[in-house]
Amino acid sequence: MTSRRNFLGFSGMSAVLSTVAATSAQAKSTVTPDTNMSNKSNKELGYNPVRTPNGWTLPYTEKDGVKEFHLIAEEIEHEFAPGSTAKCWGYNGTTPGPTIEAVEGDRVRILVTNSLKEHTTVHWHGLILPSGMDGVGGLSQPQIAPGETFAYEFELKQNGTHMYHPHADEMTQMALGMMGMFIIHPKEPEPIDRDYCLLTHNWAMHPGTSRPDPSVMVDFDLWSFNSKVFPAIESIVARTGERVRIRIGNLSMWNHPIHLHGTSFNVTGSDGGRWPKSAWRSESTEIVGVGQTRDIEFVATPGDWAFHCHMSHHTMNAMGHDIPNPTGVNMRGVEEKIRDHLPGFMAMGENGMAEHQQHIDAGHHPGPANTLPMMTGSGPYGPIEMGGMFTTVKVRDDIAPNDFSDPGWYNPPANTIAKRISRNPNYGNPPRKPS
Amino acid sequence: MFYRIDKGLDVKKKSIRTNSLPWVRAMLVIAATSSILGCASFATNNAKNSSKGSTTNSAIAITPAAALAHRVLIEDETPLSADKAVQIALINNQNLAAVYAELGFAKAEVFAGARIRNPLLSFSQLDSNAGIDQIVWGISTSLTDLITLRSRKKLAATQALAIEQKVQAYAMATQAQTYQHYYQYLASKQRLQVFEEISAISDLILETTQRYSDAGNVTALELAEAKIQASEAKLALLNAGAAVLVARTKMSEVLGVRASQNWQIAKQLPIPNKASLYPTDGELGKIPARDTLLRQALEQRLDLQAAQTKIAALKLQLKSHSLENKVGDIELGAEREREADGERLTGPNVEWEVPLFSQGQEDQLKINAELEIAQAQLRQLALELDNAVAMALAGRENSANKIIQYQNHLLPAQANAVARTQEEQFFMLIGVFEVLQSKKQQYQSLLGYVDAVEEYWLANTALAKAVGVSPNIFIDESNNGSRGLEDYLQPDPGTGSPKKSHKHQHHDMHKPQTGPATPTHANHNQAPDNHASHKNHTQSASAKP
Repeated sequence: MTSRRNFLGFSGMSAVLSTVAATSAQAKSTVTPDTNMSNKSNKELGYNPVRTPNGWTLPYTEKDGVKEFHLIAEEIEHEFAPGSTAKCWGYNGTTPGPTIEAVEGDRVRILVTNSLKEHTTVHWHGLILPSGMDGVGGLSQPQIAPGETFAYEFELKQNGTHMYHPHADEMTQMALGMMGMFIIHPKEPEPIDRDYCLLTHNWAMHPGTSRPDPSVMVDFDLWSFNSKVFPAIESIVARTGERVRIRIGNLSMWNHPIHLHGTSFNVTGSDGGRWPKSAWRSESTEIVGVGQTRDIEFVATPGDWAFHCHMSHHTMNAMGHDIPNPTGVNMRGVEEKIRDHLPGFMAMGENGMAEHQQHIDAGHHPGPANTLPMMTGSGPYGPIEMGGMFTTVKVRDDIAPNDFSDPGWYNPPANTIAKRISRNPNYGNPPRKPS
Repeated sequence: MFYRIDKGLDVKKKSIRTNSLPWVRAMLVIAATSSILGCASFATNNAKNSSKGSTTNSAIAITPAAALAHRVLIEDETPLSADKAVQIALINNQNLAAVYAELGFAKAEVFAGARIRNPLLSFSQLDSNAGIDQIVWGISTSLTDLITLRSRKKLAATQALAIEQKVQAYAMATQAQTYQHYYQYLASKQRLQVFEEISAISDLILETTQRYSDAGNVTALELAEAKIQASEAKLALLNAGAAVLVARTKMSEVLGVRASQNWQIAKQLPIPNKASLYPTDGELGKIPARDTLLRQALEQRLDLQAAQTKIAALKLQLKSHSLENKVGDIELGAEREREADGERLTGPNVEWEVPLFSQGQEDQLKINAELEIAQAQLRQLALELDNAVAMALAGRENSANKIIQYQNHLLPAQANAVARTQEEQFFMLIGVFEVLQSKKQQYQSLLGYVDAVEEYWLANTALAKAVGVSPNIFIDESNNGSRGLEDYLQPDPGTGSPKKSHKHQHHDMHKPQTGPATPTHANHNQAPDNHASHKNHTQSASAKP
């Protein structure tokens, strides 16, 4: 399925590619680019294409047996979720940049045009290549000055889940969103029905501002999968019984224990490719360290399953890091007096933070401009109270192949949903540890 | 610009110009004239009352002026305006009443100037051994008095005018002083209001900190700091209260009433008209250009006129003394004498003090010295006047700019900061203490605003005093939308519900709410219009990027 954005991306890329084709005397043939390569059949592509939720795959042109891609580094307008947009830097109009997908043994040429106002480079993270193609500005190559286009060309000598990012003014350029996934398929197709990739990142999008702050090293405000935060992260959709792989890359500044509910997945690979089965590990949470990639595989089980980083604050949107602890604070009597000076004041958090989303959803109080509430999202049973690196794996019995559309909320079979049996707080006699 | 200030004075052409309110001018003229004409003065009234054995307080209470003041102040429950305060001060200020009494000196001078010494009658009876006495009758009078009568009359009139001008200048000064104390008293009251709010907020910070402490969520240090803050705010409030008492006392002294009496003034300082704050064609509202003001001041300042009149009087005195001393004292008379032998002799008599050894140089020297002193004082007064106009104008402009800065920038920014801080607190990005501190900071900025407005009116008053006019000619209190302190003290509606209408019951979240202004949780599970997007970006409808 081609989304509107993908279509636009395709149109834009067509123009770029046309220009490249017109100026390249060596251009012999082109592969009609499709902005979502995963819409092609495995047979057509020769591999099972990866799907980048909320993202897209970079088309290429074949020239003299070389797959030629074209990246353009530029400032973009990016939406983390409705209510929070920012001036970011990315590639080809998005952050993360489009996923580059190729096959082990391919020779690839990647043109990089710098449309920023400072120099840049691209480092092909984890790839085995000639030193001069490694993309470290000043070390392995001259910087790509604004307006210049550099060509990287090398043979893909491995397969696996990889990434790309600048190695020039890295702190700024990565903090503003310049990154992408580079997926190299093995020559022999793998028995994977659905292949997803997610790139984790963190953003110092201070509440009320509209540009990520590159000077922050610890206290980030937004945590993202593919530069989106819950509830704007697309679900991972699969049909019951399908073998699903999720490739996870980490170009943030924190490690992320990625947790999938409802199944015990296998950790099956990394930037070293798909590991031998003997090396697989059965886990429900896998830490993806900074600069690492991990592949997890599982057989889809019907239901709506949470999929998230297990660092609690990574599944929250912007929140105060130094607020006084309101838990257990009885503000009755004081709250009213404060309201005399500050109409609308509301004390929150005496009995926990859950009420916060209710207040916000009820429209009681607006927050700062261009800021997402720390807890948000509603499910069929009420507020989900999440944010950041949280999405769902939605598995149904009747999902068609290549259908990645959201199937809606899961309707569990009778008697398979937790239910209330009492409203009496003194119900039953739960044992407590004797004192 | 050079102004000739030590010029000859044509007494007849000089009239009292106050350019103040008509009733002020009328009152001054009545007071001056009635005193000159020997009518009962306020001082006389007071003296009479005092002579009846009344105490000072009762004297204030029972004089006609005090009775009038009492009626205006106490019985009329309308808060005292600046103009009304001036009315009361002019009739009831005891220092001014004492100065009015100096008009008696002017009256004495007029009488003295018009006087010729009484004729001298002489009689002598000389015994004779012949049995018949010699009898001599004589009458004489001063020819010099007659010769100098005209010049002495002129001198006396000039001296009387100087006193009159001095009294009127004092009245004008009392008027300016009344305005000054009026604004200072109002400002002190408004500062007290702000300090009350600051103290209330500081108390809330303490109370909130205590609640957090009770929950075990803040340290003993944080609680101690909150206590310090609240205590300091209380001390500042006490100081502000004392300042109000001092200002009220000073105001009451100007009015000639007791501070403890039940009289009230307006609630808030007038806010300068925008036309007064923003210069148009080089002019600030009703304020003319500096050169014009200086010219007006030189023409209108009564103390300047009094100093000029004093110089004129001294010059006349010098001239008169010169004539007297050159002529010497001449006595004209007639004698009738009956000799012992019965012969009768009649004839004129002239006595002349020949100014041979003394021409009254010591008096001349004294008058000359007094003249030089008076001229120096006049020059000093003119210099001070020039400086006072310049300083008052600069002060007015400076305070006007401060008011503009407060009105257009700081206060809106503070209100905005409070609203934005509240938004952050709503999203739990910051805590309650930051919100309270932000509000406290807003109140503290209001203190500066009160200071600026007070400075503005005091500069206006100083300018009027320097120019010699009533301050009210520079005042336009139709503030055409300028916001006063009361407006700023009202809590901003902010981003939440109206004041006190938000009966939030988050401790019983599902209890039904009533009232249209009361936010409820009834719509918790449905997205309001401004949050409609939530529904669209929840998992149930994951939008394509």
